[in-house]
Amino acid sequence: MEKKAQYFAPSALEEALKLLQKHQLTVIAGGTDLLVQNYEKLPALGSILDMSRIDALKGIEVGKEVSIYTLTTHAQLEAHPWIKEKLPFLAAAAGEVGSPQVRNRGTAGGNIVNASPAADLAPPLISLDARVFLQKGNEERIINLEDFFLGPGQSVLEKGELLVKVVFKPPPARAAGCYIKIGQRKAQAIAITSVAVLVEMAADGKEIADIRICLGSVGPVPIRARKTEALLQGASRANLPLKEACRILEAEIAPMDDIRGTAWYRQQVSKTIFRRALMQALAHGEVR
Amino acid sequence: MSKVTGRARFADDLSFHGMLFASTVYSQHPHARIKKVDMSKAMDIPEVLAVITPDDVPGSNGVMRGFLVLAGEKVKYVGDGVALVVAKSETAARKGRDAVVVDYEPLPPVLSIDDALKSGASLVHEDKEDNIISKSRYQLKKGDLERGFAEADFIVERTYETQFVAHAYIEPEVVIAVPDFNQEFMTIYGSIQNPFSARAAVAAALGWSVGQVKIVQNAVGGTFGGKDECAILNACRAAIASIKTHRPVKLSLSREESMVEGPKRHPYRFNFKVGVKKDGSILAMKSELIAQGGAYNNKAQFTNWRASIHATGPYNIPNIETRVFGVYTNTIYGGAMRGFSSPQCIFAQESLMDEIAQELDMDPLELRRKNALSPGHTLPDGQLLGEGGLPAPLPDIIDNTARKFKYSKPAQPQEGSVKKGIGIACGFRGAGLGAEAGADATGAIVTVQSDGSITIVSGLTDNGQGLKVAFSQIVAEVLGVSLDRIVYPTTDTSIIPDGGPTVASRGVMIGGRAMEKAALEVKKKILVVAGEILQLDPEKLTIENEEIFSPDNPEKRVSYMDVVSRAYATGQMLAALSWFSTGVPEFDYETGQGKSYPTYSWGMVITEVEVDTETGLVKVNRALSTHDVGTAINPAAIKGQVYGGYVMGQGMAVLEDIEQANGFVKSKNFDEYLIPTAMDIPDIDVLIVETGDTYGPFGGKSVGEPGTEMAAASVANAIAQATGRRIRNLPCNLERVFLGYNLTRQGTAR
Repeated sequence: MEKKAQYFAPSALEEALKLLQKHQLTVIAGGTDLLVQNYEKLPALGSILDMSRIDALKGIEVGKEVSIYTLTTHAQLEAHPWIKEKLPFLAAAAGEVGSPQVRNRGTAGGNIVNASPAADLAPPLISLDARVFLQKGNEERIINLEDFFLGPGQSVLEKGELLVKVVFKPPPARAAGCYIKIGQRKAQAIAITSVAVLVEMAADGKEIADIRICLGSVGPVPIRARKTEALLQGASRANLPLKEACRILEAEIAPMDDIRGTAWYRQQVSKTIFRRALMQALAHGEVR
Repeated sequence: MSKVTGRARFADDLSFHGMLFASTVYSQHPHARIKKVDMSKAMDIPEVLAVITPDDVPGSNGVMRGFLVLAGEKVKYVGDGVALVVAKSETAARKGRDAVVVDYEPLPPVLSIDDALKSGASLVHEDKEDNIISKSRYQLKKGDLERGFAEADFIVERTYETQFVAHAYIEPEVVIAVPDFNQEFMTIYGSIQNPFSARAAVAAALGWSVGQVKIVQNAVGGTFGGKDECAILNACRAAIASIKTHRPVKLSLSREESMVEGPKRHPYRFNFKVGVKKDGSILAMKSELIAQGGAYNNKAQFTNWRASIHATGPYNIPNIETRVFGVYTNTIYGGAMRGFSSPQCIFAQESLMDEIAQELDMDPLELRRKNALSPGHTLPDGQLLGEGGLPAPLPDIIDNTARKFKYSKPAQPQEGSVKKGIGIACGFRGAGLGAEAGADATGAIVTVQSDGSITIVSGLTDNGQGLKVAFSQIVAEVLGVSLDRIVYPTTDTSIIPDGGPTVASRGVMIGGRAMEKAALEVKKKILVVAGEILQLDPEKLTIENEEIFSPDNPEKRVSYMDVVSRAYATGQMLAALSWFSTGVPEFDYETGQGKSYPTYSWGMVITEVEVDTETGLVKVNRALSTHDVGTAINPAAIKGQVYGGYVMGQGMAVLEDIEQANGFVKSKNFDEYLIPTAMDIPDIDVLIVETGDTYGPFGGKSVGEPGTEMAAASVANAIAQATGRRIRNLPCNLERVFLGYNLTRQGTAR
């Protein structure tokens, strides 16, 4: 006999963590990935832990560090005044997710734990050196977001563990970012390739003091282009080694053929959008 | 309106006492012999009541020119149904479906036009000699082709290809079979475009006469030609399950099932050879068209005939030879889809026109102006245009459209990576079925009820295109009564003779004529009764605003309601069943010469795009779509048709393509089969042209299909102009635009 599925909707995080210790539960937040992936076999999800009533996991805190709590929706992220002003590229990435309906339901935490290499929030957050706070029972661990992903749909998240928040340091004033995504249409498109570039200029405004580059959809996980970063570190804005950077970037990514595009196309266009994102980030940096 | 408020009830909303649910076991191979079907595990599921195989089909398992209710010996594509599981719940039916074990012996599949034509190719249909669809061959011959080529200054040869495109209706197919327990009688409720075709197939499958089957069409959530073969096969399956279980049976397809089993727009290959003079005049055009029919065929003979008339475009070409045929493949199949081969033909033909213009270094608009069919010319079928013939508004349409759009060719070369392009497409469309299959005929019933309400019945169906509104307007207009009096019940095959399918933009054109005729007959009857009351000659009476009077003596009048009351009191019938037929047209199928269609609709589309040449992204900025509609019966509905039609064409141009790998469908839902969203839609302007064509009711002509058929061609031409590279196979997706050709498939780069 099949066991009857149960539905839990606790309002406290502690209660949710306890329930996860006690039962085999499928965790649902906005449901924009989970329900789509399972819509023909919903009974297979078994018992459900609905996170949506845990108010402590909603919202964004800005202080010495920025904390985006797991249930923050893409719409909230996109419209948050501080994010919009200081990190427009992160707001833009949130605005690239799905459609208004999806952005109203879908959550930042869900976008990450779904562990899609095409997740729109991953490249900008990784370029911000974000960490994720994971909790299981009473135990908390902190992982670099870059290390969170293991493969398509796979992450370090353990059974019974919840992603509580994403945290990063606000970048210095001389930094600027850019996110560019290529999809087949303007909305409700999964990235064929995407890139986030965060550049920090030296005090004289002439050299790149620091740069972080992360690409989506061009490998099994979001890919940080460290070798390309190393080349551009300290490079002078007037004399950027763009060709060489593109050559290195091409070797750092490992795209595949799939229904949305071929590996070759991804390889070529990733270089284009990287170049554009870098130039735009530099231009934004200049404005400040 | 009920669709907007959410009150409309679709087939899936209906439920009947004791209703069972069925689920089809689909083929696991594109081409394979069925060795064994083991249903024991499915029958072990307590809620499963029956598993149906071809042995259970009481009548004919073959319906609609070779489609099979269930495949018995071999499967010919992945959408073939092998068995049907009937259960008490939908979940149990699906569980049962997954528990049926079918043993297959795979056969080499025929996957493309080239595969199908290869010598020694395996046969999709083993009872046939080759893979060519019988009766799919048509030809059109006009003038002297060889002489035309000999007189030409140069020859252009090009090949173009199109893809399988899905209708993407929002509601997948749903049918419910409800048996009558007192007699052999079956009612089918469903989202079915063509109730009479469905009735014939269900009756054949049951081995009954057509009168024992009644099809009731529910509110339809989109069809565009598609709710046909697949919906009808499922109606047959549900009916058989219903006979076997003595219960109502519902079959509701998932999106995935609908995408895999259902019809699509036929892919075509076009081989053109054109002879052109230096001044731009086209002297001769030879075209060979091959349609990929897929596993079964019910429509290629019709789409191909239409293509044979239209393939060379709305141009004055004195020497033409067009040949067309279709092939079977072990793939999803082609069926009717909005445009019925014209979107494919116009893409190829209008791409060709632009390539000729490029060869001549001539403005594409100028080339079209020079060759446009004009008064005094003859159509490809030989019919005369202008004085004493059919209207020929294309030259004016070209000028007016260009002026309204403020057309000018963008200066080349353009700076930067984002480049603008403007694309033109012209088209003409034979209205109605024409000589496709003999006469084009349908009926209408208009009945004035005792309370003054007027019931109207058509054999044609409202699939969302607004036929009900148009027919109601026609009847209210003829009878001089308020539109509120019209009652238009759901289409039901048991109350009106078979008037053919609602296709080919014939709804208003042909159905409207029948409706107008029935209304005129009823009007005559009303006037006779009014004449009795007024003691006046009925011939001299007229109806306006529900009052009947003689214009000579307008004081003497009687109300519509008084006439109705008297008619009922004195036993006079105020009803008419009328029939309108075009008659069998004079047409020579050997040469394609004669009266192909009673009249044509003409049009033109201009589109402006921006192409990011470094990524292949295409942004459609704005479009103007011009249509000759004869007389605009409902301008708002015309614009609605054109907006939706344009976007369907835009999708075909840049996005839509059923991805298949070795005969398996990859894009089964709308996360993988992408259509344009509201964000992608450009500013679309519609220019309505009235030509005073006298053919349709109040001079109205088709617009349902013209609205979509030129859009893809105009977008493709705009992209080619922007990038300087011609993509000869649709869609112009990111990669093809970026590269100029496709990586995974064979393409033709310039």
